[in-house]
Amino acid sequence: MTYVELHCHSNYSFQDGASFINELLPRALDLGYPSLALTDHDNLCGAMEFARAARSLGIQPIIGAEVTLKGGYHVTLLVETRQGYSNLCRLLSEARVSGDRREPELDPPALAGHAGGLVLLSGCRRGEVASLAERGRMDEAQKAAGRYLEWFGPGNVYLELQQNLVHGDTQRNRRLVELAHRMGVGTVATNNVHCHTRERHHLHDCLVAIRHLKSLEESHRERRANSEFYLKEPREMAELFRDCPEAVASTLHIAERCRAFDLTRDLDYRFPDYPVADGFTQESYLRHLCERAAIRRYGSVTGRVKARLDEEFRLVRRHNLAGFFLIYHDIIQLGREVMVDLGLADPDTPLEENPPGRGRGSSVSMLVGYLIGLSHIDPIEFNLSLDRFLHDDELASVPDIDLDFPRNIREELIKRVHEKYGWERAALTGMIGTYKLKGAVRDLGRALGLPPDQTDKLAKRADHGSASSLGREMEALPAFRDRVNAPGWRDLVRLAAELDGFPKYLAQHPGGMVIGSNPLTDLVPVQPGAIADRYVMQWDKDSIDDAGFVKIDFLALGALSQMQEAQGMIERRTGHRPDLSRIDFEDREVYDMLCRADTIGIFQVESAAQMQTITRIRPRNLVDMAHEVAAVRPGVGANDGVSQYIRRRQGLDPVTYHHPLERRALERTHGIILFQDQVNRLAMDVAGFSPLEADQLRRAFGRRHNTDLVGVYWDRFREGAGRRGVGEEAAWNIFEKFNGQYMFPESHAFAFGVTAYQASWLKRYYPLEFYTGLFNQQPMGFYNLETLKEDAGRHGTGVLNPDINRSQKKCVIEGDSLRLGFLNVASLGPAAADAVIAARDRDGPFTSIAGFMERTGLLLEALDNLADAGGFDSLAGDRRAARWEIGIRYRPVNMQLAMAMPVIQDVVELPGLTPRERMEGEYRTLGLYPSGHIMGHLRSRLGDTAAMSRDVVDLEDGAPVTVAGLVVRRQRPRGKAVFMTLEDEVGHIPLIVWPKVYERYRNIMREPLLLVGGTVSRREGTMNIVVSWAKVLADVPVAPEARSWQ
Amino acid sequence: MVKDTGAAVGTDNIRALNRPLPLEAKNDEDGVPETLKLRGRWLQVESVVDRWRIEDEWWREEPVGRRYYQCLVDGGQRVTVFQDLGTGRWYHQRA
Repeated sequence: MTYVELHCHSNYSFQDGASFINELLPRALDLGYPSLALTDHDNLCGAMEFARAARSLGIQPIIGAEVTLKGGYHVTLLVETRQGYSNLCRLLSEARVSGDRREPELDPPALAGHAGGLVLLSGCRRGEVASLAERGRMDEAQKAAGRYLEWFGPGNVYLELQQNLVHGDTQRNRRLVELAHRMGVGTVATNNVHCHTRERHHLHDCLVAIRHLKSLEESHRERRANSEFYLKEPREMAELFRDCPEAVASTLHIAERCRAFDLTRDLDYRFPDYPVADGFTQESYLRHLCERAAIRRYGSVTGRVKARLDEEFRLVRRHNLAGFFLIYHDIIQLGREVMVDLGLADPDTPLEENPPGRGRGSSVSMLVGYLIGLSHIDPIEFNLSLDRFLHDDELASVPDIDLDFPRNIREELIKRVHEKYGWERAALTGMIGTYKLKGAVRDLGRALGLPPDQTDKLAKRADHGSASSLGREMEALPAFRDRVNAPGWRDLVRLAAELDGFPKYLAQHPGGMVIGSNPLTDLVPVQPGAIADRYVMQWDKDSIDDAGFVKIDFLALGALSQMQEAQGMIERRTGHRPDLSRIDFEDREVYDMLCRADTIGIFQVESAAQMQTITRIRPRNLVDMAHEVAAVRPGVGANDGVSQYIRRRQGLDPVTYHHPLERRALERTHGIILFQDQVNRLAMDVAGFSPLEADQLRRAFGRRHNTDLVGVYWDRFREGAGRRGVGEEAAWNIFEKFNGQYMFPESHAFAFGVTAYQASWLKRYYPLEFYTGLFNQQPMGFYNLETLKEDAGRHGTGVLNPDINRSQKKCVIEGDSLRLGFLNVASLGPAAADAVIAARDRDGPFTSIAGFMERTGLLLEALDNLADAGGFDSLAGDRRAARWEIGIRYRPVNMQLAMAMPVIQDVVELPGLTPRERMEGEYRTLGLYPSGHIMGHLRSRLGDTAAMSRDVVDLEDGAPVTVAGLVVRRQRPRGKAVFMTLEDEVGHIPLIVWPKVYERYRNIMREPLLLVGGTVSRREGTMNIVVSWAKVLADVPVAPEARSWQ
Repeated sequence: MVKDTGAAVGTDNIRALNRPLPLEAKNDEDGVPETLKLRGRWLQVESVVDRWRIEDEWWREEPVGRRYYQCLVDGGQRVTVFQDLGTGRWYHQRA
């Protein structure tokens, strides 16, 4: 081997690198590279992925980065030792924390204190030394190189030579070689690789244009001169540097120096210890906390509680997890402090009675978790099994505990965890946003100079999904079919396929936080998040898992926020705050409501699929609720499990097993797998797998390209089952029940089932507060405000337009109705809302539009929207008149002094708005039509041609029917049939559109108002209309948008 | 102030500066020029002093792709030539 590439960018050099790591590494392998460096711009986002993938291919990964210094100069830093890795992480963190988090520039003296264990290459043509040499300013170049030498020491600095056949490379390299000889430092050849093959340079050009927000035509200066920046054959590199063989030899020497450090092995992350009082160990303190809480919960530590605690503590001891649970407890305590500070909890109430959040996932099965406030489910009462969460086998990693919080508590809690542990020791998990179809079309379209209105139209019209399917999407769209091979568009299709899945930016994971005993900045670079006071690691959850970090998930759950807000409103209205942990969990009226599928707005059970199962499962207790929320999951549906479960539950089919050994795992769910845990249990009971092996088997089904892996597990399953007397056919029938689609763990289903029940209870007994909370927590759930308003109306809760003298920032209760808030009005932000409320509080109600304008200083757009939303209805006779008056009185703030000029002479008599115009104004400004439904306006034009939703209910299976309505939902699970819901003025109509029909009417199906024909389909207690044709019902300028899911 | 020359202004008066001139060349198997025909005379390339490559406008009907060589020809003269990567033709790039 003659050459190793030490300067190589992956596509984690956002909008610059043009190849995936898994394209670079196989190419390096093909070219015979024994080692390869990854040197992305100012980040280590891809370092762990690179290190693991390289090791798996037998390539030595060299970790590094191209660091931007003040003035825009670049240097290349390579990690030689563990200390060097820490230094690199700290430098990259420092650059973003002390400067611009998106365009970091490191102050060069910072290098001096963090040079140990790093090798410095002087950088590309944008390096200070190289750019000075290019301009012939050799004295200054020498000074710059001398500084590096002083900071990093002799032998650790190399002048970097790049020969990309760009005009000027030869002369610059000649000068750098002379300088190196004069200073006695080494030279090193690199190719500044930005893609794995030459062919990728078109995409690279586009990425550079995208990064500079320019088209290809406009970005000539920013783009590279040619296509030479790809991973070349070592022989080719040796040939390019035949005049300087020592620069090529240096690459091997440096690679050898970097061999000792292995990122996959040398991190040494440690979860922090929890400090306990004298006389306690971590375990004894945890036990002490649990026993005290058990006495509060159960009255005493009963035999069952003691037995369960003994079992759990045996496992806690075995896996050394006492400190882990205590840290979680600590975080929950912080959350509790937040609650108290926000006035949401009484400090005297024990933590476990009103915890700030609640667990989800398999962790809910721990009694310890229940007693220290990590969960709201009593695992003893529901007989939840520990196997899936904690078992005797060696753990591959510490178990996951996910916690849900109301949004406001979570926001503050993240801040306080940062404060308590320091941002260097507690940071949020990163998340890499990637290119998909829409982003690829918009960004590449601009780079290629395609008309923005056309690319925008294409992005909107195309289905969500992979950018690699753009050609197919265009073929399916009449307006774009002819352009697939047209100049410009042809490049768009080709390049979108290449760009598909490319990292686009580093963002914050929805909730994952990592805490370390050592500074995290020694392990991974940390940078400020987009939200103030948040810090994000440069690794996503996969890299964090690979690194063995313990990720604590703080998730925001809108339903918890909604319920918390509703409880507060109930307390203010009635003087009594309902304790949702102590409501009657077997309330007949609540279950009757659920069994009618009256579930809009209720967490977990409001989707059309849930509505169709809940009428058949007919839950009557929390176990049923857990089954209900678990049943509608892809992993259950994959083997027709939902129908089978329901038919067996209803007594229509017998409960059968392929072998009696299945009984323990499946008895409680009528022989059907509803939960992840049951897969594990089956593997253990039928085939004798250990808990760890069983978990690995379950995960194997979820992996990609898993045919071989599943084959290995089948052999082991068959053999294990054989040893237990299970024949091969029965073993195969049982094995066939497993699949890789998502299912809930049982404890997670209980956690969500309880939350769903609590929300249902609120809807049943406090609909006013339920809907007000729901409106205020948007966006959440399956439905838009218009649909929620209709549902509220059916439950006796009216929705009132905003009113300048009555509204608050958010929705409030007014009599039997909810009054929309100022924030519901388009273009009225929090500052404008505050201004209105402050003016009203200070000087009393508004008595005229002129006075309102003068006292609030709102901008014209906000004033107009407020008028169209009905905000001035109490002052002005008509909304058109209100807008007219606003128009003649409004003076832009900066143009002249606000002076009360007489305008009475300009006031004219105008015809009032028609109901239809009022509706359109409300849809445009509020997203809903408080006083009616759009179908009420359109019904007259339909005559008898279309049935109403209430009439469809009585039709028989197979009956032909035509219906009309507003599309409130489109759902296309895994590209199969499209499920839609139409809403008319009295209810909902579920539709099934088979793929052939959907393709034919695809563009029509995206319109908001449809007239559709088809036949009634009744199956096992469900009713749908199977669509055979569709028309646009009416062309309306504005209508509420349907929620769509893939 | 620049004095008005009185000349008519129009696109017919615009001409390209340093327009490359077609040139005959013979190259080795790596594409490096060995002899060049300049002003009717074949000249031996003594050495290639520098070389570079540009590729641009690949999104247009006629992309730009050129391989440049700065050559020292017999007589000590420096000549910059390029080969068009699309047509294979050689040009003399005047300074």
